[in-house]
Amino acid sequence: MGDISIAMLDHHRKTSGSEMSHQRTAIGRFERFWNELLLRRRTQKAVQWWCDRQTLNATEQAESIRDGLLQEIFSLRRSMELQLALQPQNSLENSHRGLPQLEQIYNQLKNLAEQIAPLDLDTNFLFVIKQTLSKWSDERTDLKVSFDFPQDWNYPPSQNIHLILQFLMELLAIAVPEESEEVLINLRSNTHQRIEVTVIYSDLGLHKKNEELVDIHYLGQAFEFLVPGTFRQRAWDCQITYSLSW
Amino acid sequence: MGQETVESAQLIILVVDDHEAVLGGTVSALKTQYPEAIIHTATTAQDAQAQVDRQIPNVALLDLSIPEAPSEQANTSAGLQLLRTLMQSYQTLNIVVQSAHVKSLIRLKPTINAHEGGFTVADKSASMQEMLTKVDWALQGLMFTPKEMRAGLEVKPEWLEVLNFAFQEGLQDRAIAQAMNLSERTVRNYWTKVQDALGVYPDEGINMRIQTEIRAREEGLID
Repeated sequence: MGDISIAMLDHHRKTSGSEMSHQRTAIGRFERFWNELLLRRRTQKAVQWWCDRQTLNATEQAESIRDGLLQEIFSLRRSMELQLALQPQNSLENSHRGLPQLEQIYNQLKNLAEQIAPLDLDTNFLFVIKQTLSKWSDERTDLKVSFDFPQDWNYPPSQNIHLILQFLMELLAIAVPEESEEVLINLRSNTHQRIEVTVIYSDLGLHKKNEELVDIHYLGQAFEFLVPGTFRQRAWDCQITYSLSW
Repeated sequence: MGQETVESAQLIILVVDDHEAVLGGTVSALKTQYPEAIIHTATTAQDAQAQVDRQIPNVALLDLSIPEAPSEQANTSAGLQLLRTLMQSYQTLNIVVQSAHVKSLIRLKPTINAHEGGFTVADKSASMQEMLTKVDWALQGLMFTPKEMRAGLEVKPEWLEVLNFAFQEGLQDRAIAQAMNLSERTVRNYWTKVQDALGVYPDEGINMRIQTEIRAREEGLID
């Protein structure tokens, strides 16, 4: 009887052990599946967020053309038509009057083309990024901006170099609100190419708010998926350093 | 192009645009065709509404992208809402839409179709002469909408009735109005709508009614 009981207990233990092992395996598989599903969903949301931002940027650019450039061209044309209608004998003088406005329109269109797709980005990354960031810095007169760039940049251009620049500009748009004090932008390279943006905020409240921004979270995830690259964020005192590597 | 332009004496014209240079250019262009006209300007939807409420102009030229009030940003919603309100409150107001956003007008198609005053569209890419022609057409109570706004031939039953009374039974506008129990003005308005749908507009040497009949037969609207 005792032997049977021991044998039964032993069998029960082995059976239970085997069942538990199956259960653990099934739970493990389910957890992995669930985590993959969550990761896919998070990535999907981040990519959707990115697409929405680009659509918004494109809409704003289109509106600035309609409300700005097109109106100027309209005014110039009307002015020339009126001069032709009312003072045809002064046509040479009238043409000269329109030239400065034409030059202005030309420059605006040139800047717009640069904004949409910077020239020579893939052959002269360092020069283009310095120019783009200088322009951004000129527009942010409320802010102290400093750059730390190497003298040369001899790396083969990334396939997604334009995308990387877009991510950098989006990061600056989100992470550097009006109440920021200072921004330091570094370009580094060792095993990877890396851009670091350090933002110094004027108070802890703003710093905290920016540390938790959902937009930064989506930007980071979209960057890692689309580039693909690595996005990191380190916060201390009133500063946050954002790092984009590829 | 053109029939005789509408007399400019005592004409009151309202021009609505938030760009000063555009306003200046448009006013100067209008003065070449209507030297005696009184031309008012407005730069916001609120100001435009107030001016029309104060004194209904003979024709209003509207941009679609304007701010609702001073120091607000220009947007097409404000312009479209102003247009909608004006057409609903002043059903016989003659309107010219002069804008770089004319495609947005599709949102107001039913309201435009129901409007009884002249309604024409001048894209800002048009020449000065084309713009002045559109102003003149609006003052004559005519309708002109861009082709993109017309998806296929859309002819309402009441417009077809007018065509049948005119070309099958040979009635003039007064008789048509009596037969349909409408005002003559409404009958004339239906003519402009069906002519716009058929792409028939004033031009040198063109008889509008005969051209309308030709096009209506081509489209199978009348036998």
